[in-house]
Order: sequence, then C-alpha cells, then structure tokens
Amino acid sequence: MLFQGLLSLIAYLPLAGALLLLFFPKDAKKGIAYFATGVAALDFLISLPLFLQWDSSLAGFDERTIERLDWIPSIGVQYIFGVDGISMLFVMLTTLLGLIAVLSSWSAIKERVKEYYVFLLLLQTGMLGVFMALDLFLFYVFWEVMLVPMYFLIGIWGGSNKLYAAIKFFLYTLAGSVLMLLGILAVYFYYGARTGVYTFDIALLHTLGADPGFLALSKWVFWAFFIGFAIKVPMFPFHTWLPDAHTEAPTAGSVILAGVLLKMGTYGFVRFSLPMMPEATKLYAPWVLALSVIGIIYGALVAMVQRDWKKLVAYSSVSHLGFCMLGVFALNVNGINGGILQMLNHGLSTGALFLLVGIVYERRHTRMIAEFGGLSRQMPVFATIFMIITMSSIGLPVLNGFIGEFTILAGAFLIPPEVGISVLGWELGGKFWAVCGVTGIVLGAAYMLWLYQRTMFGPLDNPENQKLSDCSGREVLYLAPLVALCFWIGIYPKPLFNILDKPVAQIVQQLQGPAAPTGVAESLTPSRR
Amino acid sequence: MEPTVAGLLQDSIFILPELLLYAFAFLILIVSALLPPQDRKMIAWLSLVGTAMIVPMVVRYARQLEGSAGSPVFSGDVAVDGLGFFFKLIVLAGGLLSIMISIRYLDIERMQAGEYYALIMIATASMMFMASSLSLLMIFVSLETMALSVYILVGFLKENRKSNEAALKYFVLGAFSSAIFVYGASLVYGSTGSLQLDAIAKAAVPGGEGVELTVVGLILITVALGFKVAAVPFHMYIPDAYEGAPTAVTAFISTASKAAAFVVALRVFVTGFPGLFEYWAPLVALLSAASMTLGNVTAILQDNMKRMLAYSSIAHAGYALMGLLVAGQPGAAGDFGMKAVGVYMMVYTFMNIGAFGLVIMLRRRDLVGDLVIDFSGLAKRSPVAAFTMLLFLLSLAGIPPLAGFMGKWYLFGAAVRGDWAWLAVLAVINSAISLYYYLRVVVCMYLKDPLTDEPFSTSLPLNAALAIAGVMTVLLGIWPEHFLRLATFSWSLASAAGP
Repeated sequence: MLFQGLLSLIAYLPLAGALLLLFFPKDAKKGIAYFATGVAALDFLISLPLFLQWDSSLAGFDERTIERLDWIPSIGVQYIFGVDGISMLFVMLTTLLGLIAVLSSWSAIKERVKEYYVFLLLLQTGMLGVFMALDLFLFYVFWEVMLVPMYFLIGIWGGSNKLYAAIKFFLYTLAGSVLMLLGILAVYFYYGARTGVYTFDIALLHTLGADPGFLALSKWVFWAFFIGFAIKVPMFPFHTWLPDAHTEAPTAGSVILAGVLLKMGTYGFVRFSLPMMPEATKLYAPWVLALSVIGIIYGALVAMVQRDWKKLVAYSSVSHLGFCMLGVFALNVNGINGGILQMLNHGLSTGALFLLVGIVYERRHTRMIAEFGGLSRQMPVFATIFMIITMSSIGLPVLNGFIGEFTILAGAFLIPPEVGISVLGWELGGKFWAVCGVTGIVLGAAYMLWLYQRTMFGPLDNPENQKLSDCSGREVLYLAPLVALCFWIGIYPKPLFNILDKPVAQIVQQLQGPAAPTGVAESLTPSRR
Repeated sequence: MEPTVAGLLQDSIFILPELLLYAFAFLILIVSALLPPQDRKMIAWLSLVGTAMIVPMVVRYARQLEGSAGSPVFSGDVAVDGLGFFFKLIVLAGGLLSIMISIRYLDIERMQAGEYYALIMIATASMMFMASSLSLLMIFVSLETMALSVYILVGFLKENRKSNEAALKYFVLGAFSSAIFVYGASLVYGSTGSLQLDAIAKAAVPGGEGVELTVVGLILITVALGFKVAAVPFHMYIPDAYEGAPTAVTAFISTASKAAAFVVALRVFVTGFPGLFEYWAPLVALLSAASMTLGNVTAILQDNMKRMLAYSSIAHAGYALMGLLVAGQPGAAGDFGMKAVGVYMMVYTFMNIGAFGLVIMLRRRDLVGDLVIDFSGLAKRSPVAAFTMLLFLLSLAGIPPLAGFMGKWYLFGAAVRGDWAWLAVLAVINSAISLYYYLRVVVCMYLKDPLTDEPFSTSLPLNAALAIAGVMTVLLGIWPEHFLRLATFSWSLASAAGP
C-alpha cells in the first residue's frame, strides 16, 4: 500500500496532531497524553508499510513514494520527499522512538502538559522531514526548525541546569548549521553557474561528484558541511554541548536526542558529503578518522569517571557515535553498512538506557550512581532489561551491538594503507584504526559493566531504595519492543543488510568514481556471512 | 532638453502618490486644529485611511511597468522603475503599520495629536521620493525632508527627558551627516560636472580626469550614508535615539527609514559609482563587518528591549550592507545583491515592527514595560502574544521557515555569489551569536514567572498590525514565491536566467 503522499502523511501527521492539541483544555492532562500517544502510534503504524513492503533491490530512491512539487520556483527550490533504504530505516527509527518517547512521558511530565506534547510532536515532524527531504533547501529548513521544539523541551522540562543546557544546545547546533548553509549556497551557485539550472535537488547535485572542476571548491564545502554535521554527531572536539543537553533534558528528550537527533549528523555525511564530494572526502578521511577514534576513546574514558548515571550514558554516546563515524569514513561497503546499522543500534540501546535512567529518576529524583546499589533485588524486571541493554551496548554477540561493531571493524581493516598511519616505517593502514576502535569496545565494556555492578549489585543498604517499585506495565510495554529489536538485529540482521546493501554499494561506487569496480570491499559483504 | 511647464505637469502624474500623501498630511494638520481634543483619535483613523489609499495607487503604477525598465521623468531626476516602486511599497507598509501601533501608544502617553500622524505621513512621502531619486540633489532634499520630520517625532514626548535627549542627539548627528553628504556631493559635482547619477557614472571611472576628487567625494558620501543606515562606526546615536524615542517612532525609523536609506545607497553606489567599485567596496565591506559584529556583541549586554533591538538593527544593517556590496558587482551577481537588499528590507520591516508592537503592547503608564524582564511569563499571561513575539524573534534570528531566514538566505547567498567568503563566514557566525540575545527574551516569556498578573489591554489597530506583521513573517518564510517575484520582476532585466 505504498502510495504517493505517504511520506508527507507520515511527516505531517504529528504536526496536525500538535495543532489539534492546541484546542484541548489545559487541565485535560490525561486526554492530552492519550491523544498524543494515539497520534504517535498512528504515525508509527502508517510508516510500517515502508519497511514491510520495501523493495530491497532498489539502489536509489523509491519512485513509489517520491513527491515532487515546486515550492519557490524563482530560486529553484522544490519540495521533494523520498526515501531510499538508508533513510527509510531512519524514518522507522524515528516513528518508533517517537511513540516510545510519548509513552515514557505519561507520568514523568506533570507541568505544562499540553505544551510538552505539542513540542514533542512538532519535533517528530521536523526529524522526519530531515530524513525524507531530497532538496537541500528543504532539508536545511527541517534541520533547523527542529532545534526550536528541542530547545523548549530541554529549557522548560529539563533538570536543574536546564537554561544553560538548552541555550548551549541551540547555539552550538545553529553555529554549525549556518556554516553548512554557506556550503549549501556555494554548491548551489556552482551548480547553477555550471549548468544554468539553479536547483537544490539532491539527485542533480550528486552529479557534482563526477565533476573535476568542483574539486577545488569542494575542499572548502566539505569542511562547511563537516562542521554542521560533526556538531550534530557530535564528534570530538565539538561534543561539549552533548553531555549538558542529554543530562538536563527530560527523559523523552534524551531518548530523542540520542536516538534520532545525533543520527542526523552521520546521516548527513552519508547522504551529502560522501556522494557529492567524493574526492574531498577521500582526501580528508584520515582527519575525520582520527577525530573519530579520539572520540571513541575519549568518550569512553570520560564516561568511566562519571558519577551521574545519565551523564555516563551521554558520554557513552560520544564514544558510540565515534564508532559510527569510523565505519562511515572507512569508505567501503562494510564500513558504511556497519556505520549505518550501528546508528540504528545506538538509537535502540541508548534510547533504552535513557529510558531506564528515567524510570529510576522518576522514582528517586536523583541520578547519582553512588545513591544506588543492589537494585536488582528490589527491581528484578528492571535489572533484567537493563542487563540485556547493557550487553547490547557493549557488543555482546547475539545482540545488535555486536553485529554493528563487527561490521565496522571489518570495514576499518580494509582501509587502504595510505589512509593509515605508519609507525617506524611500518604501514599500519586500516589495522591501526581497527585497533583504536577495539580499545573503545573494551573501555565500553568496562564502564557499562561497572555501572551495572554499582547500581544493580551489592547490598541494598540505602533505605530510600528499599521502597522502589519495579517497572510498571506501561514501562515494560515501551521497553519491550526495544529489547526485541536488539535481539532480532543481533540474531538475524540479514533483512536490514539486504535493505542497506544496494544504496550503500551505490554510494561506494560514487566514491570510487564511475569507472572503477566496487573493489575488494565486496568480498566481505556482511549479508553473505 | 529644457523642461517645459507642460512637460513638468505631465511628469507630475508619476509623483502623484507622494503629492497626495503630502496633501493629506497637511489636511490632517488643519483638521486636527479644528477638532476638539477628545476627538483627536479620529485623526489617527483618518491618517490611516489616507496612507492606505496610496498603496493601491503605487501598486497600479508598478503594474503599468509590466517588467519594463521605465524611463526617468523630471529630466532624469526621478526614477520610474521597479526598484523604486518596490521600496515605496516597503516604506508605505512601514508607515501604515507604525500608524497602527501608534494609536494605542499615544493613548498611553496621553499625547494623541494630529501633528504626530501628519509628520509620519510627511516622512513616508519623503521616503517614497528617496526611493525614486536619481540625482544627488533630489536625494538630499528628500532625505532632509524625511529627517526633519523624524527629528520631531523622536522628541515627541515633550515631558520626557530621554525623548528630548534622543531627539537632540538624532538631530545633531543627522545634521552633521547631512552636511557631510552635501560636501561629498559638491566634490563629486565639481569633478564630474553633474549631480545626476547616470552622468556621474560615466565620468567616475578609474583613471578618469579628476577622479581623485570624485573618490574623496564618494568617501564622504559613504560616511554620510553610513550614518543614515546606522552602520558602525557611525552608530553612536542609534541606541540612545531608539531608546528615547516613542516606541512607535522607533519602529518606524528602524524599518521604513532604514529601507529608504538603503534604496538611496543602492542608487548612489550601483547607479552612480559602479566604475569606482574597487574604491567603495572595501569601505562598505568594513562597515558591514564592523556593524554586524559590534551590533550583535553589544546587543547581548542590553537589558532594555528597545536598546537591544537598536543594536540588533545595527547588526541587521551590517547584513544588508553585504547585499549592497555585491549589488555593485557586474552581471548576475550584482542583480542578486540588489534583490537580496530588497527582499531583506521587506522582511525586516514586518518582523521588526512586529517586535516593537509587542513592546508597545506590554507598556503601561506606570510600568514602562521596555525591559527584557518585563516579558517574563508572557506565555502564561497571554499565550498568543508570546507566540507572536516568538515568531518575530526567531525570524529576526533567521530560523526557518520564517521570513528572516529567506532574507538571510538571500544576503548570505549574495556574499557567497560575490566571492566574499570571509564576510559570509563572519555573517553566519554573527547570526548564530544573535540567537543568544533573542533567546533571552524567549527565556523570559516561556520559562519565567510573570512579574504581574494584571491583564494588559490592547487595541484593535495594534492587534491588527501585529496580525499583519505576524502573517507576513510566516508567509514570507513559507510561501515567499509571490513576494520574491514582486522583488524580481522589474529590476532583474539584465539576466533573465537564474535567481
């Protein structure tokens, strides 16, 4: 039942829901929460056919869903919505996490309920637009518009230091995106001057990848896009907004931030930087790789010394996203496949981790790790779910994290020697990056298991903790799908790889130029494993 | 060609809207003298109607052009072209909205007076003349007529010391800059032998005879125009003038009068001195860089809403100067720069008047309501008012999909297209900085508790003005095509292709 207009329906349904919510009386708190949940659930349901009926032989965008309208013809802006395998998966992630975020807010949000759900639904529309837009201008509009509801979510319903965190988040990301805007403008005018067609159509702009005249400009444009995306990812050293924003945001905000917002940065690299500026990407890949592995190790080390549960999870995001970037900038099929899969994995497992912190925080109003201990006795269900998610996060086989990390490392090994680093005349090549990545995994296991040990095991000696109640039915309900997906991806990831294979192969081909074959990277296509 | 009386009469038809507006202003003066004081409010409505009637006339004239360049009248002193009509519509919109937000303001200040509206109308008509001036003399005369009316308006709150101080500063510096302008114009006249811009353009070329003198004149004119558009370092009087002036007048001078100054600058630089681009470009680039940086950084420190908006308007002038800079370049880039300035002024007029309108709305006689903290808890007191203000602030910060983003898109685009990379980078960094102080107001509105529970009263014209400004701010962002075409249709004849 894929039809034209489905994407717009998915994207704007939350917006419509938000507008309708405005007519609700302020005090009908329950009704507002139910209605918002209904909207989010409906949105998830209508997005399901995208996944279920996906034609994985598609390399490009699914013509069945593409929508194209003239928007501002006098400057060549079109309204183009469409998804390929990559963005379809992110759309699914967004609708799923959107629903879970709404569900998780029922009891957590007690003040200004109406505004809260309005902003949450608006945010949903903005994020979906980012993943669906195939016109750079449209993409940019969604990319920025989404900052406003997120700003309010952190600023109004956040923790003690919410104002600082909210403003920092907004300013940081805006500073990055306006620089990206300059990059967009440069591409737009270059393409217009060269072809006489002024357009933001991504499919047309991608052809610049094969244009040798674009190389000189693309060396600048690459960095303009890089800053925009890297702040969002966030990559070291642009990550400092993240711990503040993630820690201060309300639970649902953190889930959305970690689960979806960060993915926009990595998605941006995959969608724009790589195919549009292949030469510049290859040229600067070592720098990006270096920042990625610094992020992996630095993030993990900082996470290890956190005393705040939520902050620990936040820093773990820096580390995990570094991993995703390592995969993407391996610039081969395995690396990119793994990078994208790991983004989804991170969305699921870190989303779940934030939800778990939120559950405890709602009961105890503290997130200090030292306050807890022995919770597994009081909250067995919680402890079980937390264990599964912890294992997923550190990459235990049978769970999703392992698949992503393995594929990324397989890609990292194949990074050609000239991109690597030589020590004492020894060309380490891809092995160097892979080794750095593995260090991150080890550290990740350390801080997560230590966290688990400190909170779940040991004596239950804090009297406050002895009164804690276990997960409620609603809480299990919204955690269950995440746990199930972790297992599913861990045990049988083939459907996902099938969906990713073709579009990723196309990106790799664009990277290697039109003539060259896809090369050695093909030999270890994970779907054949 | 010697002008004849018949010819002059024939040409007068093209300045009929301006003449009618002047006539109406004087009529208002007479009527207000005849009316008893308690009926003075009628004058406000009368002037509103009078100014509004001019709008369809101008639209009609613009339509008659049908995309042709149009030939100047009055021996080449007065332009009949798209650029002129477009800016005339902008200043008319600014004038109309200012009158609408004035009515309530003057009630609060108990200063309801016919002169006030008459002066706004005279100033508006003079700005319309500025938009179509093609000679330095014409520019000077219309500029002065406008400025004199505005000096009085700024000092209109006779009892208020700040208003008096503002008017004095505005007057002294305004007169100073006018003198500089005249001096520059006389030097240009001496070396090129003409006051008409197209004749100047022919003589003012690098290596031409006596071009050194022309360059000195050009620099002086640049300084004078720098005063008029409120660019750093000629901005010193702006914060005081904006703070002291009646808020409605501040709204008026920060939008309409700025738009008029920019169209004059476009005419002078682009029509008059394209040959000397290499001389004025670095100057304008420096003015632009200094204005946006200093304006934004200083705005962060302000606690008074009007002062903050004053510094923000300096910053916005800095952005717009980028467009002016690129407009001087030949070919498609120049066209784009022109359009960028036009679009930006249109966008800025609506969003800035809107922001000032909200400041007026919060004002009460005993509680001034000009401080940023006076916006505290506005979302609780009136969600609609808070949301409207949010729209204006986000638009001023350039967040899509609001009007301000379209304006910035054009200006940044102009800088990129004109190869002013450093300026473009500086501009985007500045626009990120500006978000900080706009958000301070948002924080007050949405995250703080109200200082008072008193309901604030508003009025129909103020609400209407805010509604118009709000709708335009959204519309120009989401559905700008129609308005962009308006800005495009007449003055991009040089290059039909491309934006």
